[in-house]
Amino acid sequence: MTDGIKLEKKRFQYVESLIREVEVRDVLSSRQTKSDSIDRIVAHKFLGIPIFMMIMFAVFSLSQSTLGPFLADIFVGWIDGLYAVVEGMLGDSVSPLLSALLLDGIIGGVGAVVGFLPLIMVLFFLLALLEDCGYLARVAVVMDRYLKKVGLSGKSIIPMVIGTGCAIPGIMATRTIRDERQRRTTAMLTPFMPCGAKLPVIALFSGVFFKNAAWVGTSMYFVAIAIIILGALIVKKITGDSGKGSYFIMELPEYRWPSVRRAAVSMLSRGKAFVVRAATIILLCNAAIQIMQSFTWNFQVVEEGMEASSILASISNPFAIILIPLGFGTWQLAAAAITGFIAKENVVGTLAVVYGITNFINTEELVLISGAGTIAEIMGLSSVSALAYLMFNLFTPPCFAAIGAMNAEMENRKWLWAGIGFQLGMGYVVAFLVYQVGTVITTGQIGTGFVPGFIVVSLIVGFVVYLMYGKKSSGNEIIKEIV
Amino acid sequence: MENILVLLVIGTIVFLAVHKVIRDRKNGVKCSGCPQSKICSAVDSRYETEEIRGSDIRLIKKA
Repeated sequence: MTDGIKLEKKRFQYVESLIREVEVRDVLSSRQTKSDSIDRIVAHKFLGIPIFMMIMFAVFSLSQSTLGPFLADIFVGWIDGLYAVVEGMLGDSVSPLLSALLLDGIIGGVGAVVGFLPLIMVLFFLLALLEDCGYLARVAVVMDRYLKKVGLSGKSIIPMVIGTGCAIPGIMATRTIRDERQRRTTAMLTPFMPCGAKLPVIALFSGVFFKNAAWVGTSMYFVAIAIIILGALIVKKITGDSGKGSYFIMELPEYRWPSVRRAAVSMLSRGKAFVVRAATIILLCNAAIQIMQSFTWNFQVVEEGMEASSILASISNPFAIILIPLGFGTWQLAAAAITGFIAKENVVGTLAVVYGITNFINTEELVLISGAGTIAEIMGLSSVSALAYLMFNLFTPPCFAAIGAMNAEMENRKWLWAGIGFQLGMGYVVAFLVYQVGTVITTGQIGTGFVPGFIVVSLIVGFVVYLMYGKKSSGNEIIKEIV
Repeated sequence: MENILVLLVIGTIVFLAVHKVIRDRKNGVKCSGCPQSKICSAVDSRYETEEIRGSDIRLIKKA
């Protein structure tokens, strides 16, 4: 028996002795409750993960493939109606610039984001039901054993569960972790969990490019978990510090029938937050994007067909070059990824503005209106490059507010920059692998910009490997300083 | 005339959005609209923790 297991046993014995002193049980521990019986399967160390996958798949099927899109179709019809009414009121006498700013920038951009509200609300409702019935607490228990093995604290699962709602409270919850390295590592890795703001981006890409395939959303959660485990292993190896043993003791709630009322309240409050965010930050960003897209640096109006001379294009172009090996090296997609750092929903809003698309939900209708084959054609993305773009947006650094929270919790600039660098590198490498491997599988040829991309990815991976296995001498001291 | 009217409408929408963000910031709301924005800095917003005296174990209870 290792020292760690002995220590763990001692700790549990200590806790049990405390419980014996303060708790009177009517039921003998030998007698199994219904919750215990269910937990034997649901929280099982091998069955727990497949069960979690199946449940998440069911949740995404309902919210992104069946009920959600059905409700969204109706809702988007109303937004389109509003767009048509305002367009009719403006007529031809209004300046095209102002007309575009109001219609495409404000109504179109915000409408494109808000159009996903029904999908998001169905998802929030189902997640609230899962939480209310006591299942999400079991997920924490299932994941805990894997996180401890890779050098994270037993408590690291709490920030990650909270981070599925919003990364900021998730990162702030890391302060319950006493060990400094584990706390900082958890704060660095928590933003990889897809938060509520990333859901419209997932919904957009799974809806437009994968025909509402539920596997897209489900797999994003599991890719995030895999990245977190890999990241934790890398940090553990670099620092050479397995951290102080820390144990996650959680009072599991009894299983119960979930309250529809409580779930509805939770859904409405999160839905309201989504709308307020769209009407404030997203609206302002979309208006700014529309203005930057309409003018050149000399404040001349951009002529039709000369969009590449706009302020927005000239800012985004250098970034677009870096993104060519990932399969989406256009200034429009680069601009959307950049605005995603302000708020992740902005990716959807900016794509709507720069491509002049107001309706991402009912794509059949859009095809009829625009004459283009699909949105994929308008954006110039294959399904593989779309998946790479989605993963790039999900696994690069979070929004600025979350980075601010990381700064506050890490209390160390070197850790902060190492964290941001790690997130950027991870997003780039994952998107590169998805695009290049996916392109080889689907077309039998390597993707655009393979050689420069391979060099960049090799440098990133080489640097990380050097940090992990570099000489123990002065090199590792510097690395420990950095990480 | 129509242009001025449209400009006024756009100006009003943008003003209201900026005003809402600034007012929220003044009221200590970090993210406009977020139901947790005032309490998210408190670790115990969703989980109550309780330290066990004489040990480094912390009991975490769902609130």
